[in-house]
Amino acid sequence: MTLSLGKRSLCLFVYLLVLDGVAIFFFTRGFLLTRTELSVFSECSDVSNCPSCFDRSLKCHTEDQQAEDLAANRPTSGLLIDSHCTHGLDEGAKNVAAGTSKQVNDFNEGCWTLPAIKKAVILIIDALRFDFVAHSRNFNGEPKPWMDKLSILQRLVEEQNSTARIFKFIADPPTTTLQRLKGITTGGLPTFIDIGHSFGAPAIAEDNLISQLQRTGKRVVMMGDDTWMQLFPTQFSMAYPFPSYNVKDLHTVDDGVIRELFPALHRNDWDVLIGHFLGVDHVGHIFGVESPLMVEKLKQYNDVIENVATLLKNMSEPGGLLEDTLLIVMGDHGQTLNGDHGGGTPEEVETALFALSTHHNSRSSLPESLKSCEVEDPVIGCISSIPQLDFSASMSSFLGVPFPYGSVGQVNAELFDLVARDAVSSTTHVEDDTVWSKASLTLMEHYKEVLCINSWQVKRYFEAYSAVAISGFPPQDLARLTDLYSTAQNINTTERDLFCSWASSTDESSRKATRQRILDEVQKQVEAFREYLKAAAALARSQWTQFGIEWMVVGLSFLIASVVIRAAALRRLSHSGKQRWEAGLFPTKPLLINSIGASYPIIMLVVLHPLLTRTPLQPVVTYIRDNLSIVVVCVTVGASVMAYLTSSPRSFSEKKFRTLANEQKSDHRKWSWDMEVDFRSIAATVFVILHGFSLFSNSYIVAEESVINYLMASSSIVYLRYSIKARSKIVQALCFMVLVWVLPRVQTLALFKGMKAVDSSGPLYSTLASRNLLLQVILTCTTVVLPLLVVTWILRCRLGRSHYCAGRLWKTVRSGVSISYFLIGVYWIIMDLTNTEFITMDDDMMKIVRLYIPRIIYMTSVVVVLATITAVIFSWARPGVEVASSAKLLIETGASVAAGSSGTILLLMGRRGPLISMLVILEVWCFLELQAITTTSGSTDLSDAEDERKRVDKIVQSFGATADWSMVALQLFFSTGHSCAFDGLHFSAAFIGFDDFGFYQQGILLAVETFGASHLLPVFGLPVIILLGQNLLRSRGRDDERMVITEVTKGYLWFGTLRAIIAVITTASVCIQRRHLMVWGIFAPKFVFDALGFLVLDVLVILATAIFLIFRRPKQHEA
Amino acid sequence: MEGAKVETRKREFSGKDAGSVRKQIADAHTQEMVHRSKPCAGKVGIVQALCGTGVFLGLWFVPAMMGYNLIDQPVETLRICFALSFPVLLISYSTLRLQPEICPMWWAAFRGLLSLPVGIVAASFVGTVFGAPISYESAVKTFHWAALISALTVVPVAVVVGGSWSTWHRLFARTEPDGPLELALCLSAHCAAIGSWVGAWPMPLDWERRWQEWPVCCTYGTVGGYLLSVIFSIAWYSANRGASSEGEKKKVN
Repeated sequence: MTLSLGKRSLCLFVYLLVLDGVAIFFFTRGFLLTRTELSVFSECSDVSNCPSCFDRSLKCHTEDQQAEDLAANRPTSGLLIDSHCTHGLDEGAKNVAAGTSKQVNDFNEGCWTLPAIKKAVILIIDALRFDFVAHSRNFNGEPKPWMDKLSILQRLVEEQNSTARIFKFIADPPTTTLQRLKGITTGGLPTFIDIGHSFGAPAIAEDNLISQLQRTGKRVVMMGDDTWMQLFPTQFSMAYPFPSYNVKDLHTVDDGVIRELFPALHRNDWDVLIGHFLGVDHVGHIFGVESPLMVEKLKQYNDVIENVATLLKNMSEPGGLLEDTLLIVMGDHGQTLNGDHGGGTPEEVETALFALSTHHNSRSSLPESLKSCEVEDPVIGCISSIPQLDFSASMSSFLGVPFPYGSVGQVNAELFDLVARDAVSSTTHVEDDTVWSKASLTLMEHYKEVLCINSWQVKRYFEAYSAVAISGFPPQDLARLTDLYSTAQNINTTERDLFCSWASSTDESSRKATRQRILDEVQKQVEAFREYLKAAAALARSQWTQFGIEWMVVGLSFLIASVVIRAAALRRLSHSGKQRWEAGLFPTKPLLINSIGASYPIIMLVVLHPLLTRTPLQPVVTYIRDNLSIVVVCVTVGASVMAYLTSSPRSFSEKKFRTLANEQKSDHRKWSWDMEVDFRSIAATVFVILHGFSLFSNSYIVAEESVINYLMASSSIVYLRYSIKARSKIVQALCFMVLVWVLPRVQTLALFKGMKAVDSSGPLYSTLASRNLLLQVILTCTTVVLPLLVVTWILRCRLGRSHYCAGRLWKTVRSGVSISYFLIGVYWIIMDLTNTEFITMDDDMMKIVRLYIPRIIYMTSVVVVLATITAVIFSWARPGVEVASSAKLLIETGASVAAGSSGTILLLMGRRGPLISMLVILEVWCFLELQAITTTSGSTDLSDAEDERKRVDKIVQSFGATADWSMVALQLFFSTGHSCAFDGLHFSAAFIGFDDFGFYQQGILLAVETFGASHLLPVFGLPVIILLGQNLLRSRGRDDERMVITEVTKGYLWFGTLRAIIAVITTASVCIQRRHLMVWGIFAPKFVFDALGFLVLDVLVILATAIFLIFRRPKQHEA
Repeated sequence: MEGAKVETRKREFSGKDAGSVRKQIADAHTQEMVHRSKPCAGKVGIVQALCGTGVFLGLWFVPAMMGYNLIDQPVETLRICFALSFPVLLISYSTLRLQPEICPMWWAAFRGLLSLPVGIVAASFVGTVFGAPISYESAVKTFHWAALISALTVVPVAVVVGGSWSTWHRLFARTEPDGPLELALCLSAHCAAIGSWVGAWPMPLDWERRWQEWPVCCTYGTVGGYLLSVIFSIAWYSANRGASSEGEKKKVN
């Protein structure tokens, strides 16, 4: 196995990528996919297995005519007796049931519960903030422009005899539409992994409200967001989906919904109508909540809701088309003021639910103890909150369909009160206390029964889940729940006796007292049920972030192994001045032998499985056979790690090692870690450690941008100290300091926030752009054109003139880059001028500008990068290339790839791109200048050649520069407006140059936008930093090429090590904090970003190494 | 500036590979020695103790007597602390000035006064680079914090050393103090700066405490670091009173 050093390092990087990939896959498997989805559906007939929730109700009514009187009220109030559970009723009760059957039949026959409503209109407003709905008086400070715009909702609630209520609706993070729709319909908790499917959502496999409606023969009509179609491809009787991915499109979905909504309301071909508006979400994403467009959108919805409510009122008379219809207006999640959502902050989690019942009873008959108060409104009283978990169960009970099998929510008391409150007492209009008390009793009886079914259903699900799932609920928790359940079941033993005594008594006052006692009893039981359901939901919430600890541990240890391997490789590389040591960088033979050798016995074990039955090994073998691929991967990778770490130079050749050791006796220190470190390395280590530790706390993760800026400032101080010490380049050091401060602040300028709104054509330009035309033009020139000119000038003149980049390749690259920069300038100028109506263009022209200029820029980037690669392959292999120029060629290649791809990245960064890139180039220039000081200031007494030789052997040599470079890359990530959260993704950037959504093209653009500036450019720039910084160009020794390769490989290894350490820390912190409140809001997104970024980095390093190190002709062949 | 002083241990590492540099330094060093009369360690210790007490009283006791505290009225408290400690520092350190025969005491105090605005500008700049907010209210706070930290770091050196660039360079860029006085100056300046740097760490935590705001915890860090250095150097002097003077002689030889 005689691989050249370059090929060996490439192999090493590929191996590390595989290792990291496996590690992250294992960890993710344990961390993100935790809930077993049961594909069992609730059936109508299931309820026959239910315990005696109903039949014991009131056996003695026939004994008294009065009882019948009461009983007659009961079914009309909405829901009572499930048809499958009535067999326990005696003859008299059946008569009663028959007497009221006329009314009952109107509601279609209920399945588990009798329906309280016939139809439901559910209007979902995406990203509905709670303060859009609640009155501004409930919030501190001045009323904001977006408040009180849905005034119809407030009016409906405030008016006399109102049958409407507003609730605070609490979502579970992650607050993305798909996750929320799943949560709302299944009544379960989301699994985090689904967020990965956001671009291509699979259909819901679990039982859910929509499927239940379909199975019980209800017709569901959907209009709006096409996410519904992905979740429920076949369940709707009719659907009008509209595309949801193009966030710039504010109106298509809403206009479509409004167009279809009103005709549908007049038709009788549906039972549940779902309208999903997306406009508010899109306005938020593109313009932010504070934009005037938001107000416009809310006003539009206000009109729609007003019309729907009027229609409902007019058509809800008995026999009307919309009789017994419930109108619900709700949000799926909230949004921050910037229009972001996905996390778990109150702004994102709190949304609103508005319910309007067409029953004409405005008086609540709910006992005070069941009411809760979230917000105390001076006019409408309490606004209570409903978890989204409860929605599915509540709607199922109102519509009389079986509760979804996996729902863990409870039927909400206040919503139940609103929807199912006694219709009889309203028609009599008696404000008599007796009647009310009767109504209250009736309602509570119903609620108790519904909760009884609800609890039974939740209990059934928990039992089934524990039986099926690999990691079920802890037995002691389950036992506690069962206790709660049986307590609730057994509580009302006295109720029936009380009822009988009430029914038999004739004395009004004693009847009243008895009734009160019955009410108390019922209430006690209701509270017991609620307690059970609450405990169950809490248990589910805590357990369904149930982690596969074993997987996480395996993944984490592989990640740690990857760090260790990098360190080992670095150590081996630092001795690689001698050729025979290179083998240690990637010991091919031991790795292959060990990894194949380790997996062999396992496969043999499985093959021989039949022979091993009834031996003690059998369970192990069965387990292995069931998870064969994973076990094999695990063992192979583990064995390879062991092989790598144990393959010391000694094992390659003991003899050679000895002789080498004798040779090196004079310079004994080379055999140990060369700890001759400089101050900068120590400082860099401190900064890395600080950054690492900060990732254990959610506050620091949120403030990571400030942390990075702080550490960058610290390292700029270190450089300042160096430059003062060396008495040179103080200006550069000060510039670096200023740039470190300026760079992250560019993107926060109000300038770009305003501009962000302008880049989409729409009615907004009238408010924003018309503020001052001249100002706009000046802004465009100074923020886009000027920086572009500077950057081009630097690339064309400064870099071109310097002797590093003078080849033909660079000339080609230069012209390509100039063209794409010119086009970027043209693109933004035209966008600005048309938006300000300074020039008008017809649509075709606009389309060309909007679509084709970006595409040309993308193409140019691709061509330049490809050209560089081809040039590298062909020209470097040509004989006659000067040997000493290999470092030069490397620098040229790195600069070419970086410059070539910069066009695309610049465009995707948006309007602030040019300015930021100018600042970045300045910063990098300062950084480079400062590298020279720190490396030369150390040892001045050694001769040049000796100095170089000594330096190459040092393990920490490139560490300081690489650590600071890694920090620069991190700062770049944050200063281009990214953050480690899903709302930090710039979806709008993916639509530059494209109008329509395509999974691959938009995915690629989004990936380039996210990782381009912070991963691609730094990786390709790293050799430049290392080689220029160490002045390796000066040396012309015979080992020049080897030295260059060694240095670059070391640089990449250090870079990878640093990022691997960060990835390990993030992973470990996510693992440790897995029960943290913020785990889904903060830690998990951070983990996903870091893990993805780490893998992207690995891939890019492989690409870069391949380009730099492989495609060159070995030196020996030239001679 | 802060970070420049981060590493007082620097000399441990620079010593190894910079033999020639060290030699040059030693040469320059002996030249300086010739016309410099050094104040004794005991006097330095007394001055340091005096300054430390001044700062301590200025930050805690006097504001408390006047009904202020740092958390609720950072600007007022910082002002009181500065007003109390600055004259103490100015006067007490001017008794330690180098070359007292050439330089009268008022001149030493005057150059300390002159250095203050420069220090404030530099410290404000550095504080801003490290992420101090830049709204008007915060800028006022930054200004007061900068006044305090430059009174603790720059002013004593300016009073004692004056405009000797080589000594400044030696103290702050190379961290090679010479003798108890320079060690005290160097140590207290570095400790105050590092204390301030460390003091910023709790700021991002979501504990929602008032003391996490800028510049409260940084001020605590600054003063804490300064007091630590004072205590440390006094302890160190009293421990090696005899040994240090012998060492000095050896070093010169």
